[in-house]
Order: sequence, then C-alpha cells, then structure tokens
Amino acid sequence: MKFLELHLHAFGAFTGKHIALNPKKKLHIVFGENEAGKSTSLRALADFLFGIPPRTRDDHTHDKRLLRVGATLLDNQGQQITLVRRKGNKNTLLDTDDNPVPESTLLSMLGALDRQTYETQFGMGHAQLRAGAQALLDVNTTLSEGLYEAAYGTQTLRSTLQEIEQEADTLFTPLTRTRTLNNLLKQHSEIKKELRDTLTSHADWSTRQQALVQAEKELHTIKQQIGTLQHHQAGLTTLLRLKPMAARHVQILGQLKQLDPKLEQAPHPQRRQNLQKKLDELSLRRTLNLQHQQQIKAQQASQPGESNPLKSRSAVSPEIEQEVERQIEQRRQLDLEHSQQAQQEALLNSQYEQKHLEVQRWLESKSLPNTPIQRARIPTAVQVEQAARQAEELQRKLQQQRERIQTLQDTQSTQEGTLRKLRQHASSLVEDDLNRARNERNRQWKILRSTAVQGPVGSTRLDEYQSATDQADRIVDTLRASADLQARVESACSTLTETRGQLNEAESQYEHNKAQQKAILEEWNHLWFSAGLQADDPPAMQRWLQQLHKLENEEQDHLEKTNLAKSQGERLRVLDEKWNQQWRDLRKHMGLDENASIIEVREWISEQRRWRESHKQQKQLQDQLELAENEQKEIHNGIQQTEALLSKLLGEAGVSTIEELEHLEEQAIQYATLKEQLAATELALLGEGSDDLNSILSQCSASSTEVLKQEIQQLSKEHQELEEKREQTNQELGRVRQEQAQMEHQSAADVQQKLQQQNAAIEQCTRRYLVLNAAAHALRATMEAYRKENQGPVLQAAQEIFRDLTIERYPSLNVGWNDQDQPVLECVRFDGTRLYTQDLSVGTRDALFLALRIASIRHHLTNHSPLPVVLDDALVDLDETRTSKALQALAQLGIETQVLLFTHHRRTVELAQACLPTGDVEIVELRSPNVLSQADQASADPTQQPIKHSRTPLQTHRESPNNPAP
Amino acid sequence: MAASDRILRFVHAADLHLDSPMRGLERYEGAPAHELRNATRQALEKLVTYCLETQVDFLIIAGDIFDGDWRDFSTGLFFRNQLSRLAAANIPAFLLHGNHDAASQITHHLQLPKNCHTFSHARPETHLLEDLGVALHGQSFPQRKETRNLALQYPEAVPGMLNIGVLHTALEGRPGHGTYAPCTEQDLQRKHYQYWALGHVHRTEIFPNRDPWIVFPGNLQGRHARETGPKGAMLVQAQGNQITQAEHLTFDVVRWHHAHLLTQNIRPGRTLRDEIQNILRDCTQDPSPQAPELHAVRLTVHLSNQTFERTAPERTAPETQIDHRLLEQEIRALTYDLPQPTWLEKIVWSHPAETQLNQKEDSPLDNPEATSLHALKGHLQAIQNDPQVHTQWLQSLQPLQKKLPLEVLQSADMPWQPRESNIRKSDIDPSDISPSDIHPGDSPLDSILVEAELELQRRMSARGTKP
Repeated sequence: MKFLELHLHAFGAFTGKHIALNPKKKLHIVFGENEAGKSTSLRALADFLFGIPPRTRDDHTHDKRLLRVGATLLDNQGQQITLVRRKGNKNTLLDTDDNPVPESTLLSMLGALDRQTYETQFGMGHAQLRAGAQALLDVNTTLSEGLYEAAYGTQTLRSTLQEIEQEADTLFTPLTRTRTLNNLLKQHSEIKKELRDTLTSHADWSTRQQALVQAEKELHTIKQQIGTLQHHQAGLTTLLRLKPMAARHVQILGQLKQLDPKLEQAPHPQRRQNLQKKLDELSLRRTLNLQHQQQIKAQQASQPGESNPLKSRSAVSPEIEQEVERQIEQRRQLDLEHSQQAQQEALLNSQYEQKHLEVQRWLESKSLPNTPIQRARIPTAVQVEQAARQAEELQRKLQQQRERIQTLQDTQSTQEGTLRKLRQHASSLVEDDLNRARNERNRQWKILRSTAVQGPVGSTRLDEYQSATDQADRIVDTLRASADLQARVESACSTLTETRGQLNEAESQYEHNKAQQKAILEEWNHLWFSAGLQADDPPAMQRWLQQLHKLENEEQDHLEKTNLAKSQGERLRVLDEKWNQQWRDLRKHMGLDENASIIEVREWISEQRRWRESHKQQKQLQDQLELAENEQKEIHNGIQQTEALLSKLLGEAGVSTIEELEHLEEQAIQYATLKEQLAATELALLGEGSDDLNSILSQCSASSTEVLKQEIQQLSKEHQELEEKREQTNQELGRVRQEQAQMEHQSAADVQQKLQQQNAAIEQCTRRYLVLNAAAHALRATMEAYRKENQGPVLQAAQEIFRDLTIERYPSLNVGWNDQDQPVLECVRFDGTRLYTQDLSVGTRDALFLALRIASIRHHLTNHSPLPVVLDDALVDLDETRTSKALQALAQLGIETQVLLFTHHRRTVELAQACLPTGDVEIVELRSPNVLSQADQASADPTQQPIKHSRTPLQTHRESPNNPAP
Repeated sequence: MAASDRILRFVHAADLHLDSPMRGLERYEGAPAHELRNATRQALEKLVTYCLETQVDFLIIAGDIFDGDWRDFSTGLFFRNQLSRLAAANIPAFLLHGNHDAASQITHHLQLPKNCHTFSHARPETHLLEDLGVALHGQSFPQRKETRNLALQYPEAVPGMLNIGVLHTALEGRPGHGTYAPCTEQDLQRKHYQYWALGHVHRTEIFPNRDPWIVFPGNLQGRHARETGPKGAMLVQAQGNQITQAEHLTFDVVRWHHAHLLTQNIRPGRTLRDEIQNILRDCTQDPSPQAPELHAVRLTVHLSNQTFERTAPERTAPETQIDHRLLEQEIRALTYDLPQPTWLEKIVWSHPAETQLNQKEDSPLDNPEATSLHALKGHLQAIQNDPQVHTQWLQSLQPLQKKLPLEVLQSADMPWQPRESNIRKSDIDPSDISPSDIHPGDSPLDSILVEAELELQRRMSARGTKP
C-alpha cells in the first residue's frame, strides 16, 4: 500500500490541504519548519488509517464532528482508492461520496496491524523510533525473535562459560585482594619480606665477628687485671697472717741472746745416762755371777763318787743293746706264732674228720662202703646226666604219642557215630525200586484205561492208580534226596578209614618207643649195678650224686688245709732253731754266761746305763764353773772401762762432778728448744713463698695490721668490680656467639623454600586460571562463531546498515547476555570492544535504532504486504555524514516500500538532494496554514530557497486553507 | 712419588648450589614437607660424612658451591662448618669457583678452614700432594661470564704423578647450561692428565673415551622436575698414576622423577589408576641404602586418541571418562600408600600428536554437543596455532601477568614463553623419556590447553547433551 495523496480536509489548522506523493520516488521528504503542520500531517496520516481518537487535539479549528481526513491509496494490486475518515464511533470510513465503507477495506491493506503496533514497528516520531527500537531489543516481545534466535543455540555453552568464569573469578580478578590467587600473591609478598628479614649478610656476620674479637680481647685484659690484683691481695693477706710469726721470731732471738752459745756444744745427756746405766748393770752381773759359782760348787760337793761297773764286765755298746732288744722281740714273736699254728692245725684236723664222716654216712645211705675203689666205681656226673636226659626225652615222646592216640581214638569214634547216623538216614531204596514202582504205575494205568474203555471207572481203581503214581514219585524224590546223603556217607567212610590208618600207625610208633624206653632203663640199671647200687630214677640219682660230689670236694678241701697247717709248724721249728743260735752268739759276745736268762741280760744293760748318766752330770758341773769364772773376769774389765769413759765425759764438759754435768745439760736443752722454735718460725715465714726472710721481716715490721686490712678490703672491692665486668663481657660474648650460632642454623633457605612452595602454589593456581581462561576463551569463540553462522536476518541486516551508518566504526552486532541472564545486543567496535546500547553515544544509539528499525521493517516485508514507513525527524541527532548514509539507507528501503521522512531541518533536505540520485527523492514542503503567505513566497522565490536549487521541482501544493472539507 | 701399591681414593663433586630451594612443589595436605628442608645441605652433610667414614684422600668440588644470587651468609657458614669436619680428619678439599661462585657475595667474604685450597682465579694453579703423588690443576672463574677457553692455559701434566684437571665448563655447550669457559674434548686430552674433574653440567656424564677420564658428576641434589634421577658425586680410585675405577654415589635427599604414561598402552582390564600406581611405584623404588628420603614426581599423561574417543560424549560411559580433577586427587592419594615418601609435583596432560594433526579432517558431528566440543577444541588450538589469537589471548592475560612474581613469570612451566623458545625442551633430560615417549608440542601451553579441553569435556558432559 502506498499513499498517493493525503487530504487534510478539515484537520488541525488545515482545511482542504492536499499532499500528493509520487509513487515512483524512493524517498519522500516532507519538509516543514516549525508550526508548518508537520506533526498534524503525521497524526492525520495515522488517524486516517486507524480512526480519529475520541479525545483528539486536532479539533481546535474544526468542530469534532466535522473533522475529515482522506487519502488516495494505491493498494497492492495496483488499484487506486480514495477514502475519507471522519471522527465517530462507527462507520467512520467513508467513500468520496460520504458513504460509509467497511473498515476491512483498509484493514486488509494494513495486514491486521493495530495503530500501536504500526507506530512502534513502522516508527513515526523520534521518540517512537526509540521506543520501537527498544521494544525490538526487549526479549519478551515477539519482535525480538528474529533478533535473538542465534543466542538460544548457545545456551549450554553460555552456562558452561558462566560456570567457568565464575570459578576463574574466584581464582583471580585484577582489582580485588580476596581471590585465591590474589591471596596467594599477598602471602607471597609477605614471605618475600620475611626472606629479606631473615637474610644474613656477611656484614651482619662480620660485625658480630668483630664484636666477638673485641669482647674476647677485653675479657683477656680483665683476666690479666684480676690476676695482678689477686696476686697483690694474696701478698697482703700473707703479710697479715705472718705478722704474729715475725713478732715471735724477734722474741726468740732475744731469749737466745741471753744464753751462752757454747751450750750448743754441750755433751748430750744421753751419753752420761748410758754410761751410768752400763755401770749399774755390770755391778749387778758381778754379784749374780758370784752367787752362781757358789751354787755350782755346792752341787759338786753333793755328787757321790760312784765306781765304774766296767771293771767287771766288758762294756756294752748301744748296738748290742739294740740287738738284744731285737732278739727278745723276735723270741716273743716266734712264741706267739707257735701257739697260733698249733690251734689252727687242731681246728682244721677236726673239720676234716667231720667231713670224712659225712662222706662216709652219705655212701652208707646207699649201703656203700667208703673205700676209694668203691668211689671210683660210681658213674660220673656226665654219664648220669646223659642217661637222665635220654630217659626224659623218651618219656616226653611217649606222652605225646599217648595223647595223639587218644585224640585219634576220639576222632574215630566221632566219625563212626556220624557214619552211623548218616546210614540210618540213608534210604535203602535203589534204582530197582524206582523201576518197580514205575512198572506198577504203568500197570495200574493200563488197567485204568482198559477199564475206562469198557465203562465207568470205579473210585477204587482210581485210588489205586493214584497211590501207584504217588509211590513212584516218592521214590524219585527219595532217590534224589539220598543221592546227596550217599555222597556224604561215602565221604565219611573214607575219612574214617584214614583215621583208622593214622591210629594204627600211632599205636605201632608208641610200642616202638616203649621198647626203647625199656632198653634205656636196663642200661641205666646196669650203669649203677656195676657200682653195686640199686639205682633209683635218674633225677633222684642225679641229686644224690651231686651231694656226694659236693661232700667229697669239701673233704678234700679240708684235707689240703690241714696239710698246709702242718707244714707251717715245720717252718716255725726251723725258725726256733735259728733264733737259739743267734741268742747264744749274743750272750757270748757280751761276756755273759751262756745260760744267762733274758732278764739277767736286761739288768746288766740298765746298770751300764745308769753309770753313764752320772758321769755325764759331773762333767757338766765342772764346765759351768769354768764358764762362771771367765765371766767374772770379763765383768770386771767392763766396769773399769766404763768408769774411765765417765771421767772422760766430765772432762769434756769441763765439770768435775756428775751433778754439775747434769745442770749443764738442762741449760743446753733450753738453748736447743729455742733454736728449734726459731727455725720453725723462719720456716713458716719462708713457707709463704718468699725466699728472703729479711725482706719479709722488714715488711712485717713496716706495715701495721690496720693498714694492711684496709688495703686488702680495697683490693677485694676492686676485684669484685672487675669480676662484674668480666661477667658482663662474658654475657656479651655469649650473646654474640649465640647470634652467630643462630645465623648459622636459622637459615633463610627455609624461608626461600617456603617462597618456592608459594611460587608453586601460585603457579598451580595460575595454571588453573589459565586453563579456565583458555576454556572460557574457546567457549566465547565458539559461541561467537555459532552466532555468526546462525545470526538472524534482522540482525544481519541491522549489522550491515549499522556498519554503513557508522562508517565501519561498528563493524558488527552481537547478541550477548546481560546480568539478568537475558540476551542483549552488543555492538562490537572496530577495536573489538563490546558495548551495550546504553553505553553508546546518543548519535550512535540513534543510528543503531534506525538500523534496527530499517532491518526489522525489511524483515517484516519479507512475509507481509508493504506499508508506508513514516519517520519524523529520526535523523535529528546524526551528523551530516551519518545523515547522508541514513538517507541512502532509507532510499534503499524505499525500493521495497513507501518511505516518508518528515523533517524540519532544511539541511536534511539539502543532504538528501546531495547524496541521492535526483529521481529517487521527492521533497514535499509543508507550510503552516497560518504563515501561508510566507511559505508561498518562499516557494515562489526559488533563488532564496535552497530547495529551489534542487533539480527536483517541488511538487504542487494545492493548499486551500480556506476551503473546508465537506 | 706415590707408592704404586697404595689405592688412592678421592671424591669429585660439583654444583652443590647450597640452599637452592626445591622448586615447583606446592604444599598440600599430607605432603611430606619435612624432607624438603635443607635438602642441599643434607646432601652435602651426607657427602662429608661419607668422606669421613671411608677416609678418602681428598675431596674436589668443581664449582658452583653457592647460588650466584643467594646472599644469605649462613649458607656460607654452613659450608665452612662442613669443611671443618673434613679438616678435623685431615682430609684436604680442593675448591674451584664456578660462574655462580664468581657472582656470589658469600664466596667473597667466607674464610675457609686450612684444609681447603681454592684455585686461583688469576691463573691456572697446581697443587701438589707429594706424599700421594697427585698433582691438581685448576683455575677459578674470575667473573660470572667467563668466555675464555681456560683449559688452554692449564699447565702440562707433572710426569710420574696422577694429574687431575679441575674445571668448570660446559665444554662446547650442553643443553640448558651457559657455555662458559668453552673448550673441546681434544683440548682436555692434549694436557695428558689422567682425570678431568668437571663441573657446571647438572647431569652425570662420563665420556666414553677413558683416556683421560672426563667426568661431570652432575649436581649433588636435584632441585626441580627437570633435574631428575639419582644425584650425587663420583668416587674415584687410582693406583699409581692410573685411574682404576670411578663410581657415581648418590647423596640426594629429594629425588626428582618425570614419569610418562601413554594411555594407549594401558592393558585391557586395567584402569588408568592402576597404571599410574604402577608407574609411581616403579619410579620411586630404590632399594639401595643410599635411597633418598623423598621422591618428587612429575607425571605426564599422554592421552591417546582412544581415550578421547572414549571420553567423547556421544559414547558416554562414565567409567571411561577422565575426570582429570578427580583423578588428580586420586593420584595424590595414591602417593600416600607408596612405601617411599612421595610428593606429586604436577600432573601434565598431553595430547597425542595425531589428534592435533587429524583435527581438521574430522568431519563435524551430528550431535550439537559434539559439534560444540569439536568447535571448542578448534578454538583452543587456535590459541596455540593462530598467532593472532595467541597474541590476543596473551594480551587478555596482561593484568594477571602484571601481578605475578617474576619467578613464576619466568618459570619454564608457564605458557607465555614464546612458542619457538626451546628452553623447556632442551631442559628435559633426554634420559627421562624414551624416544617413543616424546611427542611434539609437549609444551606448557599444550598441557594447559589439554587440561582446558578436559575441563570442557567434563563440564559439558556433566551438563548433558541438551543444547
């Protein structure tokens, strides 16, 4: 549908105004300055199409009921139609003859658009243009479908992107400090600071090293000072301690001066004492010696002068005495042996006699004489034993055989019994009996048959046959049964026969042995018979013989022993003889009578002894006396010598008496004591380390005790101070050493390690961030690509127009998502920046809206019939270049549908004339009905109007304000 | 002259880097943190104790005793105390300043016990041990960046003695190490020494041509996930002027491992968890008496195509899906059950190479969710592959980068190192990975992208397939 003419019959300030539009033009610019009725015309256009609203503003000149607006339209089929709209409730659409025309006439051409939709979609004023564009951007309107369809294909990607961005955002944002990575970075700088603080520089170390050396040096000095001080103090202390000793020293010296120095050479009292003591001892010994001599002499006098027995007999030597004793002992021994041997012999002899009698009695028990011949006849034990064993063996055999015979007899009788029993059971029936019975049966049968042929058979006959048959059967049975029995009988017979054989054999064996036994017995008897003895059974004889042998052995034994005793007696007699000879020799040797008894010999010997003893005693006394006399001489000499020594001592001491000597000695002791004390004092004084006694003594005498004490106190005070200083220095030293030790052990490397771990954490976090970032990047790129591929035609077209309008400054349009998770339009600037509509400048935004509107209309036109597009100063905020581009775009749209641009900017008109081909644009100039004359003049004078320069002549303005609509 | 029948024994250590911290270990609840304390110190203590107990003849430390930028003097004091222990047993120590020591404040101010001989930095110096028949030649670094070929100026071998050259060098260059005091193997051979005690390179290396012996003992204690395996020092034995044996002894307290799991190698009937448990158990097993007190493990999980197919939502089967966050927690829990104290440093997720190659050929799937995943994967990889996207992404991270500490920013495990930079790759100890394990694109950014992908999979599948 296109407007060919718009008739403002009675509308607003207009009356009978006609605006004609050339349908061949692409763009119709309706130009009018303010108050020229531009807005009125726009309203009129809409009111015509959709009805005049009840509360219209355009009734200020004409009465409401008289308001008329009309138009000549060219419909899609190329038909022209002229219609008029009046104000009212119904039948407001009229034909040229004021006849009502149905509303559908228009509606069919409008494609069922209502006024609001038309105004928003086909945009009117500047504000409407914006509102329409905004509506287009609003996702909730159907208009936006074409715009955003691309966005919906990337839903999954978008939500994934959101998630990833969310996570990435928790890791890092450039501006905040609370994100993970930002936190890590903060910690990193903290650790770095810690590292700087921990680092030990060599300077730190050197400073401490120097301090250490300094302190050590200082300590050394202090130690030396303390040493000196201590030495001094010790000296003074010693002096203080020595002072009393020095005083004592002086005192002793004074005492010594009073004594004679010669006293030192005085003889030692010990010498005098020793001499005196020796003299006393010698005197005592002399007295004792004299007494002793007298005693000896008395003893000698009392000793009797005995005669020497040697005069009568020869002297007996001790050897002979011993020999005598030995011989006497031997004699005693021999006598003892004699009596023992006699006893032994008698005892053994009686024992033998007894045994002999026993043997005899034993032999007599068997009535045998006890003669050697008889004894030789008795069989030997071996013979007897052999015979006994034979007899026993045979006896055992016979016993066995007897038992066997008994067993066999028992077996035999058992078998005989069994056979008997079997024979009783065995039937006497034989094969012949059976044959007989069968014949009897056959005979009976024949009789029966013949009888049956002749007539009825009597029961007797039948019974007979029956019995015959039974008899035969019984015999058969019996025969069969007895066959087995017969076999057993035969078996028993043969067993019995065998047993009998065995029995016979055993019996004959037995007999044989019996005979043998007899022979042996005879042999046995014969054996003993030769000994003249009636033999008993072998065991008895064996026992007897054993006893005999035992007795004989004992008898023999005793005999031997008796003989042995006898020979012993012989030996003793020989010894007696030998002794007698020796004894005789001895007596002769002693000069005694041959017959002298042992007692006599003994008395002689003891007499000899007594004499010898007495002689010895005399000799001893004499010796003692001589000894005592010699001693007496010796003592005497000793006394003389000692006395000489004593007088020499007195001389030495320069005294004449012992008493004087003793006094001198006392004085000497006193002198020595003082000397010793002096030496001890000097030693004590020197013992304190000094070797100069005089200097010590002079020092002691020089300083007073009080002064010394004060000095010592002063020194110890100084010492204490130095000690304190030393303690301090030691502490300082310890501190520095500890610091050094800390430096050595508390290394910054630990912190460095911590820093590295922090770095690793940062790296890890960064990596994660980069992973997310890359993923986000890929997601965005993918979404972009998808959108590009699937972008709707509206957006596509709008993008092209917008790009053109902005002269490539905004090369593309995208659909993004806003905070409310709604798709929004993003304008991508040439540098890639994405801007939302609210972020655009006013002019750019207008350009965008225009582009969107044009694109939207074009899209609408693809499936709708064309409707005129009416624009009211939509380009007001565009600069000239963009305006030109906009005009071109509108002209482009004009190919598809009628485009009317209302403007009050003359510049727009000029631009249109400049940038569009002449045939494409039509300029319609409106003039206010109130300033008509001016407008007319203006249009009448082309030289003054820029429009008149246009090659497009202004269309006719058949305005007739004074001609009201009918 | 040396009594030729006596067996001489000395220890050759280098690169103590005392008080250098263990890097990359994040504290977490239950982590065995105690063992980390002073690991480098403890390692040195162990070394010194070994020297004392076995009465070695002398100790050589071929440079990098301290970390160059570490200023804490207590570190120096600790070192001095340890050397004093040797001094008490009359065991001499020969020290050489490496690049780190030259830069160290500690080195300059530390006075060492009398048994220590530090090689001059002015000129090559020779110490003669007449009674042992040993001549030690060496020169310390006068400054950190020593670019001269120091070896050239070393004196000729002393005839009839055991000649030991002590030098801090990376020879002609070793991956990940500054090429200081550059020289060639031939330069060293020309001196006719019997043993070259080198330092600077943290990986144990004994040159195959043992005339002379040229040995890097490696560092005494590994400090991060790229210093893996047993660490310690060399025990060298000589008789007369002949080296008879050189043995690497371990003294480390914390041992680093980089374990790899290829999910395609998982045997049927076994779960990822089982495999990881096995791998952890294998790599932390050390029955030797010198076993460390703590194992720190980095685990790279190389996800196979199959894993990805299995985890793709259209074949959703809950038991085959990898919830990598949950799995990480489980793996961490697994470490508590290991016989040795173990610290899981990090789990790195890695794509199989083929997945990346085949990416473009995969046809879009019917399922909108799968389509999305497919597209997401593409966009993730664009971060790496499209320089423009990469730059944009990095730009968007600038606010973060501004806040991060320098150490973290410069960490080799951070993805903003330029893509072409091969610092990380060169740092990987080739012995840790068998050639089949190495995958292209095993970079920090890769692992972040893989993780992002796993994250997306997890979240999308949790959300269901509703669009």
